[in-house]
Amino acid sequence: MNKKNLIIWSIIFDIFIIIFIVLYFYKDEVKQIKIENNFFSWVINSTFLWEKIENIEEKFPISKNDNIVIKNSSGEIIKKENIPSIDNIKLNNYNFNSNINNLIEITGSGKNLVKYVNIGWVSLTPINESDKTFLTIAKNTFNSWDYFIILQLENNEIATLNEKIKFTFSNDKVNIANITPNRIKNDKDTFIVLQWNGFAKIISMQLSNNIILKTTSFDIINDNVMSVKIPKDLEIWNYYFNIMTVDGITEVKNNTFYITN
Amino acid sequence: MKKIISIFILCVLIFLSVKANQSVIVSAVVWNDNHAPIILSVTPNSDPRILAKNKTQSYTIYFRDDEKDQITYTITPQNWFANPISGTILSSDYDTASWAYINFLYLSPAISDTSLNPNEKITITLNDWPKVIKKELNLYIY
Repeated sequence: MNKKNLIIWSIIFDIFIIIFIVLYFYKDEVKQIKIENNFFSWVINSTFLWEKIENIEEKFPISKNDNIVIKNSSGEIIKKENIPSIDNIKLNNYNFNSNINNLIEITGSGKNLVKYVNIGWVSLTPINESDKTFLTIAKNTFNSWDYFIILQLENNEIATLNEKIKFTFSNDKVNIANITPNRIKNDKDTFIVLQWNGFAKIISMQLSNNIILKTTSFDIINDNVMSVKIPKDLEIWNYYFNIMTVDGITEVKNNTFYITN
Repeated sequence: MKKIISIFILCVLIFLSVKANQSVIVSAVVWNDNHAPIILSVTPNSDPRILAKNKTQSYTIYFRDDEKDQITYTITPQNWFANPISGTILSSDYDTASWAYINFLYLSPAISDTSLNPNEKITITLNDWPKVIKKELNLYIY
């Protein structure tokens, strides 16, 4: 190759480089131009090849942003839809009491992909209510234990939730399934509300075998609900209830509340 | 002299006794440091609510608390399912008129047991020291 040819090819190469750079920075404007010439179409399409690669990446972004972005030939987004991901499926709570009927909410964009939920030996079918998904677990189904949650999806794949579901259960007729609030301060008297079974027969109550509560400090609303006034200045501790009924005394240790300062 | 002093003391005592017999009006204003929340409405408002088996019913309870206090609440169905069963209303959950609301879902039983007690009761409490407000919602399950 003589010197003259070398210069010519260098100029041609430079022209190509300049065209690519111009197209790169003015791609939006160039897209508006309808090009009939096959050669220039090839050059432009080649320049936008990187965009096509990006489109391919966007079709497999489940771990990134759970989106599919479909673009037309000119690069405009014509459809953007979420891929339901099972990664974000959760329960709204993982601590339950098996002395009551539980309605448990499943959250996450992939919740509609769940066909069955297996907890221990029990297979549960989710129910949908408007945009929410729930599981029903009848009382007395589980004993006190932590259980893995295994999901069977619509495509028959199996997935496991990271967190385990925990049930507490009491064989006593008097049992507490929930204390609200379960963390209170000791700077003033405070009411807490207890839920669930056998409250109608309560005669007296103590805290952790130690502090006797006055009969005027609790109000039995019905067999399932009662409010209890917790006096101020109690020591910081995790307290449980001793409940005396006409049938005897029950230590309700499976549901406790904290006193903080 | 003694007589004059005695009369003087007697006059003073009579004056004091007269003064003591006068009525004194004492007025005091006792401030209510915290107004209890007031339940304004329940949607749906039919009571009892008639519901078929294996059906859900969404409830909304509107209430007002003048101080916009943080309030804890409980929802306790006598027999069947509810979600949530307790929660907390934060001060930021109130609107400018001091209104807030609680949403919950009730689910009736799926069983076809004819011995099922059709009468169901849901007990709502709103806990705002020094008051616990109670409200009962009735359902008839068929």
